Amino acid sequence: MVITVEGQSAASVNFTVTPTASLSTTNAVTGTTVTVTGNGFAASSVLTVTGTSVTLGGTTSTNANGVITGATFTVPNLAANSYNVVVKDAASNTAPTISFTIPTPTASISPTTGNVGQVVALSGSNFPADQTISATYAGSSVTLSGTTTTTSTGGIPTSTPPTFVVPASAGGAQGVVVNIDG
Amino acid sequence: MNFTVTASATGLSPTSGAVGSSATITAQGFAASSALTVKVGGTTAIITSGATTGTNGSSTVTFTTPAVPNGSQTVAVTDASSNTATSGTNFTVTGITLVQQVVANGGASLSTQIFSQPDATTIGDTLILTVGDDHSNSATVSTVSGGGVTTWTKVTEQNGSSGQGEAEIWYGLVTSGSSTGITVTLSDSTNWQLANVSEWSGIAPSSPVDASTSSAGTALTFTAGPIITTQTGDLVISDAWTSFNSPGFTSPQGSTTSGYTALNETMAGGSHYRAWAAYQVDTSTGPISAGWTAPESGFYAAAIAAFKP
Repeated sequence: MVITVEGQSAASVNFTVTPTASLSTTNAVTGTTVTVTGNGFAASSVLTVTGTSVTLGGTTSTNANGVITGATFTVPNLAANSYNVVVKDAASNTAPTISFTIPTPTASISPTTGNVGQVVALSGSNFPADQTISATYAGSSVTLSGTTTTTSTGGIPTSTPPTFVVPASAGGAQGVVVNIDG
Repeated sequence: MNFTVTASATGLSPTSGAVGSSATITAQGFAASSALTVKVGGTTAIITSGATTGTNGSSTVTFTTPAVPNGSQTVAVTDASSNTATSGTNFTVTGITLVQQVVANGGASLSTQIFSQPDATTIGDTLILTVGDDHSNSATVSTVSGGGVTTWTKVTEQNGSSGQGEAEIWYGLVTSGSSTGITVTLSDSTNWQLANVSEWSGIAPSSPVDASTSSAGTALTFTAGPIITTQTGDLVISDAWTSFNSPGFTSPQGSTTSGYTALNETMAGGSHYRAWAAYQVDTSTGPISAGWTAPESGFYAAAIAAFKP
């Protein structure tokens, strides 16, 4: 930048633009599409994400003003944990690290006590999105009725939830495990 | 996470039957490979199959209805670890049940006796006539009619050889309702014919007689039987006719060995003559008899018969 005062020119002064980036969400289950926004990058520069292995989609280069206009990635199939997301351009202009969390899945059954033949409903959250639900009872697969796919936010549907019928089994506590395929 | 399985007993079939009949119930959620017990109305039943659960805690249990009173009874299954489940459906024990009874006292030189049940008889029930008469002649019952019964049948008769008295048991299936009058006709006129007619539900409608016998003599205590029953749940009915010298006995009445329930007593002739009847539903098979004790030693005739359910 050169500032001219009454025909005199001062020495030029640089203004350094630092890149910034943000995510549409920083806490989402596997399979969720996350939009990356940001600016202050090099113009028309190809973006990459490091820290966590994700593949950028959408508009993967900045525009002429160094603005990220439409980059996205899908939350990868990783264990529940906190992960670093680092956005940088081809000139290694790097935005500050963003912490991203894949939440811990939870599941429950209702009721938790009953006779053989009891219909038991599954509930839960924080599973991978849009995946097939299965369950085992006392170590053996049980047939699920109702909605057997997780929601787009990784929940077990609460309307017409998946249910199973308790098979013939000895009295006492029997383990139930909910599995998300894929 | 865990699902806690609790024991259940379901699918009782059939839901009714006589003592000794077989029924099946499904036991689930019990301990694995555990010996089961079944109680009907609190009484342990014999298990004929499925006495032990499988590794999945289940068993289809077939049991024999134990000797418990007629009516609705709980069915409970318990394993060796004291896990218990009670069937949501009770088992109704069906059996022979006394509906009503009436007695008649004969007079002197009587050849026909008519008496009425207090209520109309019910189609399918069985009427049983126990009758005894004087030792002074050889008169016996020749025909019985009425009560809605098409065919009255004599089961047993004892006419004391030395005129000790006479005792008979008759029965008939009620085939038309609303009739109450019963007529007993004798082969000859006799004195002090004493009779009881009782109505029973649950007696087999055809070929109901399992066993019978009768006897006569002179004694203070005497026995009707034994007879050998072949089926559990038999109605065993015994009657005794007595005469003795001391009139006016009002107590003690004739009594039987334990297990019997008295039917209504009849007496006549200044209570020189008495007739008693008593019954029990026999919960086992084999020999059974009725021991009688009279107020004092005298002539007697006694009969006993078993009717199948």
